[in-house]
Amino acid sequence: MSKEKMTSDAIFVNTVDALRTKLGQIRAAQAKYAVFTQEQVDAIFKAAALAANHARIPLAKMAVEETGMGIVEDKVIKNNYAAEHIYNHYKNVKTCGVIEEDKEFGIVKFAEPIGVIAAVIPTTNPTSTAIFKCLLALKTRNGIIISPHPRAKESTIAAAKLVMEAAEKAGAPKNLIGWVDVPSLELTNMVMKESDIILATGGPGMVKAAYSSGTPAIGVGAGNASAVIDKSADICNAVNSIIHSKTFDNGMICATEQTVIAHKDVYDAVKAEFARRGCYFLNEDEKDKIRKTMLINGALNAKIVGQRPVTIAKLAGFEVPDTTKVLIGEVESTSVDEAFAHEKLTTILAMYKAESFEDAMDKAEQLLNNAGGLGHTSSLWIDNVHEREKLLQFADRMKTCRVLVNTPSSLGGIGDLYNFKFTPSLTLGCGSWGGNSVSENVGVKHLLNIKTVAERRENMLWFRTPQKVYFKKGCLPVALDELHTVLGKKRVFLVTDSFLYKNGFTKVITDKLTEMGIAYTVFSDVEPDPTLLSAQKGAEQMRTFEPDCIIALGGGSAMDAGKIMWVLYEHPEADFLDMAMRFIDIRKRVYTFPKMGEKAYFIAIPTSSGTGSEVTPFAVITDQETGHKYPLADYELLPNMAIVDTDLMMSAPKGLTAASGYDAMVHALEAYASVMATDYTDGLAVRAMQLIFRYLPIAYNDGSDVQAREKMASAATMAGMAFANAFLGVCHSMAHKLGAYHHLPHGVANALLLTIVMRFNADDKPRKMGTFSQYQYPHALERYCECALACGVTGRDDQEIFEKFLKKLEDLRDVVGIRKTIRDYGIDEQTFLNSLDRMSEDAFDDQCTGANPRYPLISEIREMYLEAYYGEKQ
Amino acid sequence: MQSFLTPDKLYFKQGCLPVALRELKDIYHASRVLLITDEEKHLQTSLALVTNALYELGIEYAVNHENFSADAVIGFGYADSLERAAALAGERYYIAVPVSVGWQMSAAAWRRADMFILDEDVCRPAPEKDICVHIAQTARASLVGANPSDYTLSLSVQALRILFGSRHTAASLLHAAAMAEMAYTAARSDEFAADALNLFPDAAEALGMTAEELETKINCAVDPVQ
Amino acid sequence: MDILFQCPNKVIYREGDYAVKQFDENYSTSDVLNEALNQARVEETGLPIPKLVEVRKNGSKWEIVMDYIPGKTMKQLIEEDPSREEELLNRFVDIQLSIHATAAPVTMNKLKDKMQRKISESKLNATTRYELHTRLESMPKHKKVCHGDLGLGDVIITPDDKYFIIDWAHATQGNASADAARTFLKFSLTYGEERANKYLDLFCRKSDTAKQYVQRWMPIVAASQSVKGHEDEMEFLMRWTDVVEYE
Repeated sequence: MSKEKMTSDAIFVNTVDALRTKLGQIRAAQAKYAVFTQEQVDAIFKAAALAANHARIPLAKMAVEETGMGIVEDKVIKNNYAAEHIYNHYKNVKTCGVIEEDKEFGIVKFAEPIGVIAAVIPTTNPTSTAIFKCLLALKTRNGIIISPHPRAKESTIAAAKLVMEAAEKAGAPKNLIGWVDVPSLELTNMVMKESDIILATGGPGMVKAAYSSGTPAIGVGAGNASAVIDKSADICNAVNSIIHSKTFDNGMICATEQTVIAHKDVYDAVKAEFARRGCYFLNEDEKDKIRKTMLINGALNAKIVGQRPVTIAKLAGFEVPDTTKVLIGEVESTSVDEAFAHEKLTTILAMYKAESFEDAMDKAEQLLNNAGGLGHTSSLWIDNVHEREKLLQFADRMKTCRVLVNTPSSLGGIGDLYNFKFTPSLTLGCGSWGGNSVSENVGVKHLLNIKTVAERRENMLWFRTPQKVYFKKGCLPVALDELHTVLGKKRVFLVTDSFLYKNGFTKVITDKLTEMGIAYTVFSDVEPDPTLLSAQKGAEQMRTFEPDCIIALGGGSAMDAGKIMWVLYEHPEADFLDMAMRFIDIRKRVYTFPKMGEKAYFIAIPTSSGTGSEVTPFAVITDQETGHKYPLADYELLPNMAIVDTDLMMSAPKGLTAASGYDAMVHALEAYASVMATDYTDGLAVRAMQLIFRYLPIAYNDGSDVQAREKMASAATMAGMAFANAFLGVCHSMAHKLGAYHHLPHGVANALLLTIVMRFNADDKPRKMGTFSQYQYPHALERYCECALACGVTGRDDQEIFEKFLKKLEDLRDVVGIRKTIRDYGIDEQTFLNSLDRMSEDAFDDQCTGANPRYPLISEIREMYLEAYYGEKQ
Repeated sequence: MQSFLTPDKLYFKQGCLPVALRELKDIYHASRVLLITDEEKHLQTSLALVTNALYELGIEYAVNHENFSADAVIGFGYADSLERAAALAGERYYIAVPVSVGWQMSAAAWRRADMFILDEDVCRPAPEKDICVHIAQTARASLVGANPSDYTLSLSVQALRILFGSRHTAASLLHAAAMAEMAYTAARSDEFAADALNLFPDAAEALGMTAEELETKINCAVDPVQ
Repeated sequence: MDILFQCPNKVIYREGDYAVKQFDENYSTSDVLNEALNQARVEETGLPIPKLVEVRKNGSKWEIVMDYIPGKTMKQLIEEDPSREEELLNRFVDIQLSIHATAAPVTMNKLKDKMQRKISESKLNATTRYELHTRLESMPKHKKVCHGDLGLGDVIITPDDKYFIIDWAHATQGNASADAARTFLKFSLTYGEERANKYLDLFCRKSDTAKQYVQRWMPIVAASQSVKGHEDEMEFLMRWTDVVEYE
């Protein structure tokens, strides 16, 4: 632009100082623009696009005249594309302020501008690239400084100026768009360093400079697209499209075809069609001349870029008709020494013959590896309906970020013209294959900073129980009626342990089944710590028997074993270790438990009060080889029905009554204190506690008291329902390991640890709080006091109530014959101390620790174990 | 023999509806759902939460078209539509989504529902005085009948505890009402139990008061003017 | 004067055991001292070059005095016996590689800086200079000793078959490929395409360098050469510099 046309405050940027001033202007303008609304921005965007489109012819003429490369009419199309297609693609895209909102999940996303974009513009598409980048900048509320190539600076600047003036007229701040008037390496480097992001379209040197500048950069790579023509291709369409694509602007779009690789079966037809449509096949002598002309010392001769065949041939020293569209050299070598293998940026094509589709892919790959173009574009002509497998093979092998099928690659690669889901762009990333940081067509999303606002959102909570729980003394046969009358079951697989089996506990069930005409089989080899091996054996038997109903009868072991067998039976393909993966939020666990109940209905019948396993989604299985215990947890494991028949509990010996009863108490208490407690689980837990305090001593002292047994049974099941949904805490974690290392019964281990853990949890200033979004602040003491009050404990303040509650719990322990310390159970001191570190670590890592209201440190667990051992704080 | 019958899944918390509905796709692989709802205009906004969720999941749905062949049924609305949906569901998976709790209870829904969703974005508890009356009445009624038990009592008592407590939030009252209704439904299920049972004294004891005191408190809640 | 070599602004003559390089009056003092300094720096690396003895003024002309090396240059040897081309080219490349294998003293001038200066000084049009500057900027910076103008005439083989390398005026530290490109250009101008390609193939094979790396330097060294202003070379050099980067 001539200097006279400039207004008084326009700056001619030809020195470092001038550039600095210009950059200051742009920054100031961008700061104002950064707070424009989406509406204002869209109006400016539209006005600028319209103006650019309106001037597409004069700008195209200017570009061809100045650079001496390309075709005016095609550059007109490019300008039109840069304006119209970009406008249409982005006109409704949100780029300002709130762009996304997810009220459900509490997420809001804001789009903010990056600042000042440095845009490097190439000689091959000066005006269209300038328009494209300026429009993107306008749409994203960024400022932009353009660094033109000296060969095309006038036309580049003219395009930028036009867009700037239109934007200003529509309300954009002045000087939002700027450029360097006299480009030099020094000024280009400065532009790159001083901007906030660089859009670098240019050769490898330029792109490298951009990435080295220290400013985040989006570069592009060189193209070297091969058009592979498979024997199933529509030859006419392929050849004519390639010619169309290649001659577009005299081959200057980087995505354009550089070579054709035709399958030998169609080679001659392809060649004939090319010739028919005005392409010239070079003879040996002409090929050599072209080789020497095309590349100088391996670099592309500037004089042939964007030229027509007649011009190129003349340069090379021979003649072709003026109407020739493309010069084609048939060659064989794909090595770097073959000039025809390179990107040509002009109307020259190389043509190869492929022996097979494999060979074609090999050649295309070699060309990319040897002669450049990795990451850019590749093209395939094929019957995409019947040869899908080959298509996918090709796509899989080509290391290019654009794979175009049955599309002219120059116009197809830039997007939106032949496939409307392909982002329109004149800046085509080549991924890491091309040394770029993007692998797609560059658009507005690359020029925005996205701010995500995440609100604290509480997870969904739940209350899940078996749909049917039947209870009361003698209910077992009555409940089983349903199997026949309602559920229509025909084959029952009964899982239990050998003690129960031998002592006739299964008789009630088997008699009833026989009466109903239901077939059954019994698996009674359940061990106290059920192993994977025995579960597999059971599942194997199930697969043979094919039951439609499984009944697990017994204590925790039998019910757990039954659940595991159920899983293995319904889903032999399920991966055991995956299922056992530790979870933090059971709803977001990594493994999606397979759907259960498709083959068999599951009924759980407890014989103790109890583990609560009849109403929980948990099962623990031991790997017999390593001794590792795998806790499985998923609501798919919840039994369909629980039958709690007091008759089965009546003969439980004192020790079992005490241990399992106290276990139920700990279940209730830990569920209440848990970070995942809800009103539903609270109700059940508290009632269970009340019942246990009242009836456990009676059941212990007089096992024949039906009411006491019945109440204990209910209490245990209710406590089970509570912790099935609220989970447990570190008392159970520690009890698990204490049992594993020193073979104390589960209920006893819990009893020995309970009050120590409660004191630990009740600390109002815990070192670490439990993590769960519903748990807002540490309040375990308060919670324990709620339980205490419900259990009839009174006092002046929380501290007193709490202490009295602990005493009440310890008294209960004494009453049912549970001793006071671990040492009292004859565990040797040295053995205990030797195991302490590992046991503490394992307890920390136990599944139950996560729901504890206070997240314990391993050292704190250790201290608690010691206190439980010696009976006093160490 | 006694029973304690409850829906398989009770999901609750503000905003849980779309999350819960995902199970239709992920677990039950339902592709067509029948939505039974009241025609009321003011429900349309919250109904959109359901239909949007189904749309996002790619599940086809029809509203109130009883002949629509569906894999699952969603009852969305007041007691009437929940009951209607429960009846129409047959063997199919039935999800009950009440839009109000604390008025008329839908016993059929509680009895039949496979999944119950209480989402405060969709479910408005009745005004405090009404919901308190409802909780008191329902909880009391749940303590007598053919099938009350420690199970149902634990829920009724917890509901009363919330009712009598000082910290009422809309959410806690909503759940108290739900618990009372769940307890009532389970307690009234009369398939197996023989004689009527009265757990009122047990409830009073559980709350740490005498039966008379409990009676007074409940009457107070039912008719505050006294 | 026992003249050994003569060109437009320099004369080299023998003085007993020494060779004296005499510069024209209009040669700048700094250029002369720079050349002497360069030579001294290279001498300190231990490479077999004539030792620097004295820098003096002879009337109005500067002179650098160094050891005289008896023997013939490789250029002379090839001219005398063209059949020795392969043997001599091989030895030549080995010698060049041994230069590259030498670590440069830190103070030595940098090749990249020098090339940037030369491109700026050249009479090429702004566009081409821009392209070349950009290309050069992206080249890696190495620290190998580069002769800067190594040709067959710069290697003397003594009667007892030892070799010495002379004419270190243009020495810099930088990229070996750049140095090879410079030699390739020299060969192209002096001997033609065939021998130049033979040299390049040998260099690339022996140094395990891909030809493209050397080729990337060619437009740059051509631009640098054009500053010397030899009319008869200009068209050739212009062709070499008028290349574009792939876009």
